[in-house]
Amino acid sequence: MLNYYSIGVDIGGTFTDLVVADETGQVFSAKAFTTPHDYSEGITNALDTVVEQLGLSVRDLLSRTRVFVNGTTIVTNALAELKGVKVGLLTTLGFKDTLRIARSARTNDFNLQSQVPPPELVSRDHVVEIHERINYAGEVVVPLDVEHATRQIRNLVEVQNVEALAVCLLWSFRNSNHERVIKNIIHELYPTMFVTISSDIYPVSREYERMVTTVLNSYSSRGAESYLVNLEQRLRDRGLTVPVGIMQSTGGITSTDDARQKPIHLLNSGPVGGVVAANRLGELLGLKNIITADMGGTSFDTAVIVENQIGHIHRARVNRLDTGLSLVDIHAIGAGGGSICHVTDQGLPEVGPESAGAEPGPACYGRGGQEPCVTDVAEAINLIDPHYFLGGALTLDQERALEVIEEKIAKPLGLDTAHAAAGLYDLVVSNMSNAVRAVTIERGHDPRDFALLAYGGASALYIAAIAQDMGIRRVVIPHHASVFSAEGLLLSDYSRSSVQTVNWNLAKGNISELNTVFDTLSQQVTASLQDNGFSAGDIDLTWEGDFKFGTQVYELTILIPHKELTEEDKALLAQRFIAEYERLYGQGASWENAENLIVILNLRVTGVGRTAKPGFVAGTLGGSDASDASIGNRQIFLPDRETEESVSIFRDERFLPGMRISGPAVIEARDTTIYVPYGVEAEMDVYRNYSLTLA
Amino acid sequence: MSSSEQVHSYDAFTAQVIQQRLKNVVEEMATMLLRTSGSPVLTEAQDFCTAIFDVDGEHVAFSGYVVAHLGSSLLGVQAVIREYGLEDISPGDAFICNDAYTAGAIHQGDVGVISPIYHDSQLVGWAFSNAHVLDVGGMSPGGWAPEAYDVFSEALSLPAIRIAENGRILRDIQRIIMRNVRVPVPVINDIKSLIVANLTAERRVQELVAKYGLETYKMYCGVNKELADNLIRKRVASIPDGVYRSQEWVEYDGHGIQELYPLMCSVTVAEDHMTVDLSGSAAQSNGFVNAGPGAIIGCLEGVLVMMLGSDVPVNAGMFRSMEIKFGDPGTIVNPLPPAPTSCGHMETGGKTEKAFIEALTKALQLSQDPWVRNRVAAISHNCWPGNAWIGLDQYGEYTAFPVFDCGSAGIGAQATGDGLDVGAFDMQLNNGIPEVETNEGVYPMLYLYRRLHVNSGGPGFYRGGQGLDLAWVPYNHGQGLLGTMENACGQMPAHGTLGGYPGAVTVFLKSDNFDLGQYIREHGRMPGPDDVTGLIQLRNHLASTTLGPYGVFRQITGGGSGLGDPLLRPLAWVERDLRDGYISPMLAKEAYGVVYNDETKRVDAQASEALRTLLRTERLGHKPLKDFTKESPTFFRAPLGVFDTPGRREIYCAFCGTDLGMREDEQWKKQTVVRSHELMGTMRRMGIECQGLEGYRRDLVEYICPDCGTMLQTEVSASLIELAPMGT
Repeated sequence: MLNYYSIGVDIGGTFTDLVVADETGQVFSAKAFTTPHDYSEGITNALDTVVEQLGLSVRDLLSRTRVFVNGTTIVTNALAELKGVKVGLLTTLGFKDTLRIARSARTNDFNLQSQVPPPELVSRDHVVEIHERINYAGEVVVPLDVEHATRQIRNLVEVQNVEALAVCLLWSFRNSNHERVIKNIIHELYPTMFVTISSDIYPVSREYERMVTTVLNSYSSRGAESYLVNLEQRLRDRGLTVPVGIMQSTGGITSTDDARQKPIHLLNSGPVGGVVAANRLGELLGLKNIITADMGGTSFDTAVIVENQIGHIHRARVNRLDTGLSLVDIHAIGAGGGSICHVTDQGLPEVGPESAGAEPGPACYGRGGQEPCVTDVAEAINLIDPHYFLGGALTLDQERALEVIEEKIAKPLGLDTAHAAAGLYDLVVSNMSNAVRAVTIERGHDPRDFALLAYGGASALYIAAIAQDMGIRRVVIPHHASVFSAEGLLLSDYSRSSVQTVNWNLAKGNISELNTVFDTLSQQVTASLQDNGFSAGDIDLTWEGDFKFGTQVYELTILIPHKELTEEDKALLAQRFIAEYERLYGQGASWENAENLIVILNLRVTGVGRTAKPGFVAGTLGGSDASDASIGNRQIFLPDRETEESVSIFRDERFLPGMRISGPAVIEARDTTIYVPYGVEAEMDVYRNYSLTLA
Repeated sequence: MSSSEQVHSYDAFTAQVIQQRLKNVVEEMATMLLRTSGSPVLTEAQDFCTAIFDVDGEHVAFSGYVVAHLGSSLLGVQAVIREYGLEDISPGDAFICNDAYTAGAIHQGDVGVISPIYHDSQLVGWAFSNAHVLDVGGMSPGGWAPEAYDVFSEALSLPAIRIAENGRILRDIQRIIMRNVRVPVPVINDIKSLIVANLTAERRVQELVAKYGLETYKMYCGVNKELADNLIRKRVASIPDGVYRSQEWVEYDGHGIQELYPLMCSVTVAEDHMTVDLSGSAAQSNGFVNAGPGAIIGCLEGVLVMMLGSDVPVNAGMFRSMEIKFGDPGTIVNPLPPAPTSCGHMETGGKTEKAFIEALTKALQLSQDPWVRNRVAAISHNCWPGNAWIGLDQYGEYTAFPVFDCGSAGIGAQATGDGLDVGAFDMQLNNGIPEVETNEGVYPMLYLYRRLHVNSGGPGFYRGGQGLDLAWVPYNHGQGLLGTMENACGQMPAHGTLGGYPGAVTVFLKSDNFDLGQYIREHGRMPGPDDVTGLIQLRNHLASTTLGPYGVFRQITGGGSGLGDPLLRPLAWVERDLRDGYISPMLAKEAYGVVYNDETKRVDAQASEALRTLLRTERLGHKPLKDFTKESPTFFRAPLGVFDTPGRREIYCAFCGTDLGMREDEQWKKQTVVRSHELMGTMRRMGIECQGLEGYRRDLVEYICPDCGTMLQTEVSASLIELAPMGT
């Protein structure tokens, strides 16, 4: 019988991770270096590696692949490195400085030297003002001067040689006619020119955010276009017959055609695969409330899942730019394995935000790193076996780790090296706990009601200590922890989202206005998913509104029943909003005269096209005596006890489902090391995940 | 004895963990406030603050935002302790205050809530939150009264009184407040938000104390203060001992007479200690410009953090090495009741900051520590030209609204780069201005344009940040509007530092006879800055001006000043500013000595070098004797250096090495070439906005290296000729 496969490829900054699942749910994985000059090369290399495990040719594998999903950092990188295309921007007369004014770019930092404008995406010569004006009600105050606009477009394209265009006019989300006329002029003059109009990409109030979003879409167009075309071509040449799916920053997949039109939706999509995977694994294990913890080389990323719903953040700020983007709500801090530890002018130790990156990396890599990094800390107290890092692929230099910690931390603080390293370990844990607090306590969630799900190479060294600090009782470290994000790609659905500003007062507004807008948005979303091959029956629609009181500028997103709304539903909507408001800010916090002040600013429809997904494979329980998995003992300076003790060391490959150990212990896998402190028990479940239980 | 000896044995990791946690807590309080408040004053202008104190009533964490609340929070907590005594305070209490004289408020519009924090029924500290609420009563809406004569006409005064007991708001107090303000519901909602923020702090500090134990928590609050003190002392000690002076002028024309109030500032550095003395400043005003002690302490401490301590979390230890002398009572910096104070923080307070930064910059440039030397800065425009309007909105309902385009003045140039455009007050961290669609959607306004104010950043090696130029018409079916406004910096611009030049000032203008509909019909487009006819300049402090059906309101906000001699700014940077339309060719020529071809969009390098030599020759009256410009650096360098070799005269020109004489009391100035120009004429010749001023003489004074012709220092001065009554 022929086997069919699903493939997920996650292109990260350093590694390209590839996961293949067969019909039975068995998973194979491979890693290759990311190849920025041509990303498809890294994918090809990973494919070449993984087929060895499968005993197939690449062509056989690809031709038998039913699902191929790719997560890519290409758009993220283009923005981070400011390597986008030369964009021409057309805006309303009188408002050419909107991007520079940037709504005032002051930050909450006392240091005036750090007060600099956001990155400049459009050169000032390439911003032109158009004679037109629409007012708050969508009425035309000054009609569009078509002849003038045409001259300006010609000048941008033919004299200034811009490579893509962006159009953002005031109030275009109320009346998009002027933007559409301009788009038509551009299409007639230059049929292949990439153009984004703000009423298409983000028809929502606040012109600065809308302009940034519009410009970013055009800015990232060519890089995404050539990447996506090249990728599909290469894979088709090697035998792939199905379309490639692309992961978006919302955690849903889209088609390459859609991604080419709206490349901005790929921004920051890198870490979302892991959150999706965490939620699927949570569903399997019966965990409804999950905090994810993903620690890699440069950052620690954490997100919250409540009742198996992934949280989103709207109007996201990316690279100091205020956008209208909706993203999976992931909080990142600069605390990865490569983050540098130092002593401040005040005489206190600090971790990050500077990172030694992959090159030279931590001092213990022996590649010339002179600064003590987080990985050096774990190495110095002997938590990591220097000969079994990445399964022995890299031998760590423990002496070097001890030297830099002694020189840069211990001596300035007047401590011995072991205590300095243990202190740094605590500081890393404290920083991560603060990050977890930011996504839980500060958003009205009690972390003690959550399980921590930790993946990424470095998390497992710290995760039990974080859980202890936060009062969390359960930690799960998944099988394949280091390729967990790629695995998440296989577990994702297709999704599309459309949003529209309505600014609708709940007490005064007519409910039929909501139904009209919801119907239009629902049709857009459904049509777009149908283009990707989903039938209406495979598509689930979710309706949401961004609610606020009166002049409040911070909105809460509230679920609205997906049905023909009636006047009677108003009470339900008010009640849902007030309940969520008081959950977040405290009982009685909602406004005086609340019912009359509720405004729904935006309506949003999200459509999900359900895909077939591989399951998790359950093994059989292998007994409870873990001594077979032990490879002996090692002297470790326990950071929580500040003493050196002889600690049992276990190997993941010898561990069997059902085995259980008590801390202190260390479990070594090929791609991660798990530290189990005193008071913590670790057990392997039937899916080969480790489940840690805290006293 | 140096205080570092007082720190005995502590764990640096615990100190850092507790410090970071407290910083997170004040941030979480801020998040709570921002998310629950419906007031654009908080959400757009970010006019609020949060802080945590230890049992000693000293800061252990401060969130930033409105920095001047360093003073009001400190005095507010002290007022609660003083008035009630610890025995009369219980868990669940909260206290409210807004009075400058009895509770240290920076002005009445900023309402503070102070809550004790208990753990196991033991007092462990205090939480403080503050917000500028939409109204506090008094004769004018919005929290400031430009035409008041005393504190009683300005607002409802709250002298640190109990607002909540057992966690419940006291109904009597709530009713008094609601009866005395114009918009009771939003105001009481903001007060609720402040209480919520303090409750958050209470829970978090309790968790911290539970984890570490009270004694350890207390000890580390102390350790962190000591460490911050040591850091600032180390930096102050790197500055040569001496007295560094500056002078500013507070402006007021709200009672129909144009007056300038001199504000004197001297900074005396003695080893690791600094005294800031404001003695000799003008007698108090009967207008709302006087700054109470909370505002003065907050402004001075805020500057200290910005200049010397922005790299570490704020706590009370940072201020131990700074002593403040207010001078005799009865002045603008030390007023006596009933002198009005409702704009003291933005008028006298803002100018105090400017004066302190100017004096401190003179001191820092002589420091032996490169980090400290690199903290020199030019002066931000430091003006928040508030304007609020009442009338019918476009939906036919009565409305009162502040227009937060006022948070748009330019920031001063820094030693690391040009000043930020549209940065508002130095003291207003995280400032924002609303988007045009936000304002037009809610308020009866239609903007004609909103652009950067060209030429407003003062020229320098690094240029000041630019302000805004905007105009709008009332958009309420011909009903018109009534406005109140205050502009603290209309006549005296931000002074240039270390050889840089002043930035533009702020101006309000209006026209009462511009027919927008007709203009559009005739031209097919919206008018620009030069197209609106009939504009007249408005008084800077005005309680009621009408804007009729053919009215246009125009606001031009000023820029930050420049740092360093503009003739040293690399040609390529000036060319970029010219192409961007940031500066005009006239300014390029007059201030930067740069010749620009508007057709080719290129700077003529040869002609520019020749012009720069010519300008240096003009400065000196002869050709420069030394020319270092071939090796002119592309990074900022302070113009004065200090010899540390015995026997040499102390100060030299850092560019050509010429000895300039003694440091003390700026004696070195006697060795320089001094030129004095009438201020407004000089600024306008460059194309920089400056208001006229009757009754005073204003000068721009230049101090030039006699050998190389480099601008070493510029000063702005003003002297009274005769007080002039003015029209409306």
